[in-house]
Amino acid sequence: MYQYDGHDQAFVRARAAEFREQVGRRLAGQLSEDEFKPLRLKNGLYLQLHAYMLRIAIPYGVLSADQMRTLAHLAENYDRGYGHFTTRQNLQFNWTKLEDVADMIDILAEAGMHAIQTSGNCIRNVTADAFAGVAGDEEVDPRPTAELLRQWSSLHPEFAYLPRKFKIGVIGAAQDRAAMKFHDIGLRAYPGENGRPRYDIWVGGGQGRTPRVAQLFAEDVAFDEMLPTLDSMLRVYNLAGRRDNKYKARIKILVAEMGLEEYREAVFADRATRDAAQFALAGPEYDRIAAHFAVLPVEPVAAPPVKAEGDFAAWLAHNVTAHKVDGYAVVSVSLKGTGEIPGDATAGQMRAIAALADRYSASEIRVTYRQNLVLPYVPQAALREVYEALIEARLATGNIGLSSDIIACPGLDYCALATARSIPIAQALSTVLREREARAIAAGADPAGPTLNISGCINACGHHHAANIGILGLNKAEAETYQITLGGQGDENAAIGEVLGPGFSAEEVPGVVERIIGVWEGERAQGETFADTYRRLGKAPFKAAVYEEAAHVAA
Amino acid sequence: MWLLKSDGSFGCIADFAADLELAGETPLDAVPQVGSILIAFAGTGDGRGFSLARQLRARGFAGALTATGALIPDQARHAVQSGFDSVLISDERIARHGESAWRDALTHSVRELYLADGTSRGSEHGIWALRHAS
Ligand code: SF4
Repeated sequence: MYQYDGHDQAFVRARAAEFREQVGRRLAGQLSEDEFKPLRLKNGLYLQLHAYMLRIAIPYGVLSADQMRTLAHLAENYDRGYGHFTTRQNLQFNWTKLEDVADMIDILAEAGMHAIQTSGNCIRNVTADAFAGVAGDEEVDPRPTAELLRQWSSLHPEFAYLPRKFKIGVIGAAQDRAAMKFHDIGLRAYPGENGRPRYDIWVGGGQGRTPRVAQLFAEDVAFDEMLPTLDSMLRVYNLAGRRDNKYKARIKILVAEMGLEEYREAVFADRATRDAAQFALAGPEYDRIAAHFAVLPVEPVAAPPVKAEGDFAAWLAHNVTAHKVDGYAVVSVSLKGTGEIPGDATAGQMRAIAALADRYSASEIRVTYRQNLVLPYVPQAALREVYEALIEARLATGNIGLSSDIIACPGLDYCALATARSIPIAQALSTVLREREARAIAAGADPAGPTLNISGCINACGHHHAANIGILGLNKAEAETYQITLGGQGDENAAIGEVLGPGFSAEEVPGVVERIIGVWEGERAQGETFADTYRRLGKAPFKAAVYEEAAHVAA
Repeated sequence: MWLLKSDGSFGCIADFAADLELAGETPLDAVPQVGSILIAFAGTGDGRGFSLARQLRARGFAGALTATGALIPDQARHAVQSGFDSVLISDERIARHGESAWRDALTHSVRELYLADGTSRGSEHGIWALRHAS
């Protein structure tokens, strides 16, 4: 993985010192809350319902075992003993105190970590495929590009006060494991010249109030043109993006209002005025970064056949993925235990994962946007031991990619913007869905089902638009009501879900979801996914089952 | 009023004049043929003035460029690194933010960046340039 050199280390230390000084001026009254707010947000510090929340960057989801232990230390000493992994591959501490934050940032800096631009109207933490470097279908490792962009965008002087937040995601495989087309800018890397990639550049994806799948901005862009193009894409957005309405301020709205063609022309016109030579060092820097990732930390070995039965076999089937190196496996660790809070991990669990990474996975851990963890280099011969250790740590749920692998944002339990709770809905659903999966597994049937994501407000941090079954918590007439969308997809066939109809109370949601799944099970062709069935049938049969039968029963 | 310059010098000035005053949100059609421009930022969260400065520099404006308006000390770095030569600060803002916060604005902020832009008037070298110096 990428290792900080003295420059990177000095950079995060300087930022930590700067932030400490900013907090001091705020506490001394030299900065108003309005002036301080963008400064603290740019350092991942939110004021939530009960306390400050600190969001720590895990750039492109890569963590060392030592860094995971640093997070465990912070959870124990500055929070209530746990942390929450987010859909942006970040980690949030929900119970921090303003006066502690500068110390926390210092501790992070010593571990080669930071909270730079995990929030605020700037270029956010860059995300990438969590299976980078180990996935069998990978054409280009997205991590060097993501690290290059992390460096370029960190403390960028010109793009720090944009109209709204700006998210960049990078993938390098046909399968999209990073929801690339739901980013403000998405990059798909392909093999290019001299070991440097070429890119398709996508623009204007996003969720929130106006969900959009990104559009193709430029195809097959040479490496040397990628950064100058992004530079001008951001500049045109900074100058022309709307600032009068926060819900119309994302680049997706600018592109929709200008039209893709006109936006593209404005970007190329700006790029023509810029001295492209000043980006020339991006190439050698890319090579330097890529060298950190080029050497695989493991050598091929002969793999004994893994004997499996019962729960272990089910866990292998769902949580273990083929590795590009013979004799190894990619192990996904589910943070979606039955009845648990999606994405939450205790300090003890963080330490257990760190110990497993040290022992079995080249001391490396990944965080997925689906709020799970990954041990990327596990020898196949050690799978049983890893599984046993995960049982000890209460992390052995074998449900990766199944319906009970629910994405959920923190919602009204923490978030100041929330209109409804999401955590209790996720907990109740995970119990129901896991029972269904267990029944299927016991019967020797396929437990697969629709993906299911939950957001506690229209901002859609829980990616509800991108789920086969999306659940959005709203507040109508002083009561929480949950709106259901169907048919969304967050993968390479990115699609936005359609609203099914009027919402439901929290208590009704599990029954409604079961009914939707029941319709799919009844209608699906052999092996058909929920998304395919939905595309074939449309929403009518689901609507009928959910609303008409309910009315019938009530009458 | 007070002036903070890109070289870090800082002091009280009696008066200030620029050939042209622009709002930070002004779209740039052509580069004004003047010797000095003052760009006023409408709000602390409105970063258009930074891009306007960089566009002016990229299109060859070589005169004096000064930022003013709703800036806080922490944005002086952004201004200078986006192509401004100086920041003009009102007495009211000096009193509220503290004279020392403005005096030290360019030394208390992170000075080194990964990529130093050609339009910058700041002292950064760019970490990429330092790494690949040979
Ligand atoms: S979707 Fe809404 S409630 Fe959930 S974390 Fe985002 S802003 Fe908060």
